[in-house]
Amino acid sequence: MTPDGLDTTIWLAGVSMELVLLALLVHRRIFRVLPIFFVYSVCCLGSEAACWFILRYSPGSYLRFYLVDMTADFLFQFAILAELAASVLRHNRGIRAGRVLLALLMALSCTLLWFLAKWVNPSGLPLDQMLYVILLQAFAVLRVAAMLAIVWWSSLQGLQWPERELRVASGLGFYSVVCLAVIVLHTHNMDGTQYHWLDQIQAFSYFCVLSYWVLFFAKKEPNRRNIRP
Amino acid sequence: MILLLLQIGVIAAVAFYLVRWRSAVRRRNAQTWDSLLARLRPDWSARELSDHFLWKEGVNATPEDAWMRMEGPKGLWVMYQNARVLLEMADYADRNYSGVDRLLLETLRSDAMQIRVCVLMALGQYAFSQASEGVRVNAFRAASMYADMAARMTQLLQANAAAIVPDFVAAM
Repeated sequence: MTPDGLDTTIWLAGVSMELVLLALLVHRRIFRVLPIFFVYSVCCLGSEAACWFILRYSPGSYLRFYLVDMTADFLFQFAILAELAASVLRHNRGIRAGRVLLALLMALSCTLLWFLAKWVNPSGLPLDQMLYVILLQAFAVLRVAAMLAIVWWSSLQGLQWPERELRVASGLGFYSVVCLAVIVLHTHNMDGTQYHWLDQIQAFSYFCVLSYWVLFFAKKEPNRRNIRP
Repeated sequence: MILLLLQIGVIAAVAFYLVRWRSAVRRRNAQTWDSLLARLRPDWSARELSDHFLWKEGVNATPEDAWMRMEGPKGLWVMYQNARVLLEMADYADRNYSGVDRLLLETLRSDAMQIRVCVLMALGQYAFSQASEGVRVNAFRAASMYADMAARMTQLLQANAAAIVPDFVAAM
């Protein structure tokens, strides 16, 4: 299979899985409990369609579109993590939200990851391409940092996670870590083929996350309360 | 090359940590009352510090006595681990029995957090200055909060799940 053929296959598989996931989210009425996650799934599908349309009819404006798209994607993922945290709080009674603690943990995880990153600042690139690289790196770090902050916060408070929220968070966490690894590897002067393989691995990991969510939402959710001893 | 290896190492460590956290959360979701009881450390009991442990708050000891009876850092570490288990027991009772007092639950959470912070401070001081006055005071505070938390836990179980109180008392 040629690289282009593999790209198309992964892309089509991803879009198909997004469609299945959306159908399951509607069927299970997830928009009632996780509305931001639901809207995000709709927007992902819309973004794929817009992407295809722009690449076909106006490839010159693709980068500008992608800058907006990746920013929206990051903000959505951030909002989903906040939604999951709120849902976990509702599930655990007698908890104070601890927003200051959460903000401190977020600052701590950002600092740790930022020192690790040691980014190579792009120079000599046009403004939009430079912005693209900087945003890509910043969002990759912030996504993992937000995930770590929520994990530390819930561990410190000894919170219990409902299965559904845990699955959504696990998928997001896995994808965020893969994105960060790919972006870190991209900064180490790889040749074109290796660079592209990493992109394909990232796209395939997104497909895996979608499949993981589809498998979970396809099953009937078990009763949330345990059986008495 | 070293930077690349370092970066990959840290990302792998983050991934490993997230996987371990996920497994721990899933294990916690599936635990039973018996598995919770089994997680209580049996090698030291706070009965050494109070004649009415589990039934009344407070301890009957001076900071010096308490330090001796808790066998130094050993008792502190048992309190650190048991505070977490007690918190999970309170959650378990909340999930499985209706009418658990929200304020009591909130107090237990706060107790667990304070005990762990206090124990970590005492152990940190102990590492640098052995059993100094500050260590003994922090250990006493932790022991006192631990006795209060255990008494509140008994109260919660008595009010909502009296059938499991004997097992709890025996395990503590």
